[in-house]
Amino acid sequence: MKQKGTILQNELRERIHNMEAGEGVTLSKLQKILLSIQGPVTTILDVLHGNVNMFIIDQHVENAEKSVAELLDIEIDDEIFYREVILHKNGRPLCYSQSYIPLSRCSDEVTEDLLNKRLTTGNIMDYRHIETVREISNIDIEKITPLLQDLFKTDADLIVREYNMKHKKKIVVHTKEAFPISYFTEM
Amino acid sequence: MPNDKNEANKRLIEKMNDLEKDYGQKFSNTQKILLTTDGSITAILDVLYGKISLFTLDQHFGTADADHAKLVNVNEGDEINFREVIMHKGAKPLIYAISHVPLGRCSEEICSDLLRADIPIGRILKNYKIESRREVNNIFIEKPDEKLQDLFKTDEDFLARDYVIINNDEILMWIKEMFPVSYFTEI
Repeated sequence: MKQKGTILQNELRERIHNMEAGEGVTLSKLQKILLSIQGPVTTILDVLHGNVNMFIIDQHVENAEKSVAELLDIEIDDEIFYREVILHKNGRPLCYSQSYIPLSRCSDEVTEDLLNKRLTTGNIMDYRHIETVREISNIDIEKITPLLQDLFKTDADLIVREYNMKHKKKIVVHTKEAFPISYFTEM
Repeated sequence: MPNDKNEANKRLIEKMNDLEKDYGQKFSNTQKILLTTDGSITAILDVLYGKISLFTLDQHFGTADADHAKLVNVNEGDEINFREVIMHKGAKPLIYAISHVPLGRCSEEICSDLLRADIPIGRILKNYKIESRREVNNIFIEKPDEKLQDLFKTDEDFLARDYVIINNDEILMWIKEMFPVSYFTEI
């Protein structure tokens, strides 16, 4: 084939490249894929590892403080559902995920799904056929927290991304996903 | 860690496993990701290969025959945009894709972007913030026709998948993506 067609612009590749340069690291292809896919990493982890499982570290309803209200574009003190989970395969942690969900934007069915603790937020969206726009708001490298140091049994830095799922033009889920930089280096 | 059972992606995993079993070959991680992702593959190719290009082989409007109508759930005779593209890196073709888009479900701006050559569908959805979800119908092996043999310069089997993009509970797009079975095997 002769060279023809249009070169596609991908601002995410550039953001990843800038992050690598800024932090002095080189990410594996799989790490880059996990950073750049739209929506939760669960599908890829499921396909690569067989069904992965979810361990809920914490979930509860709380009133949004200022920083969270800004993240979700809601009023301070509005009720939100907070969930913090680890996706794991046979006890081996693969990815940490923290989600904020404005309860006023959830149907009763979705609230029930969240409370019964069986499905990941991404799986709930699929299962309930919720149509969304997904936007990555941040990718970064962060120092690992004591909680995740303990869970992942490493002090390696974390690769982090944050994204929003929007439905009816409003943010219905804000998620932060993180995994140690020493993970997913095999491809 | 306790196992909160997650079977949301079981159907996809089973499809991959069944295909590997039937074909008698294990597929690479990259092949599996490309065949099962619920996001755009353009971003994945971009991360794997750097800047990739899109070339429109053909795009035209036509009326749906019985087969097309079934794929996008419209009536026979309804107008459809047919598009055929190839994503490539330099001179190397990477993935061939065809799409059927029922015009009755397109806004004027989407129709107009479909007409303009070389804009990937994922980019069109993103540009207009179209809330949607994707459902993978089938993952399969297909023999290449003469056109594909000529484009990819091979007569080997192709890995393929077809999926729909759903918006407002209706099929907005049906898409089939294909690549030779020897592609993306390195990782």
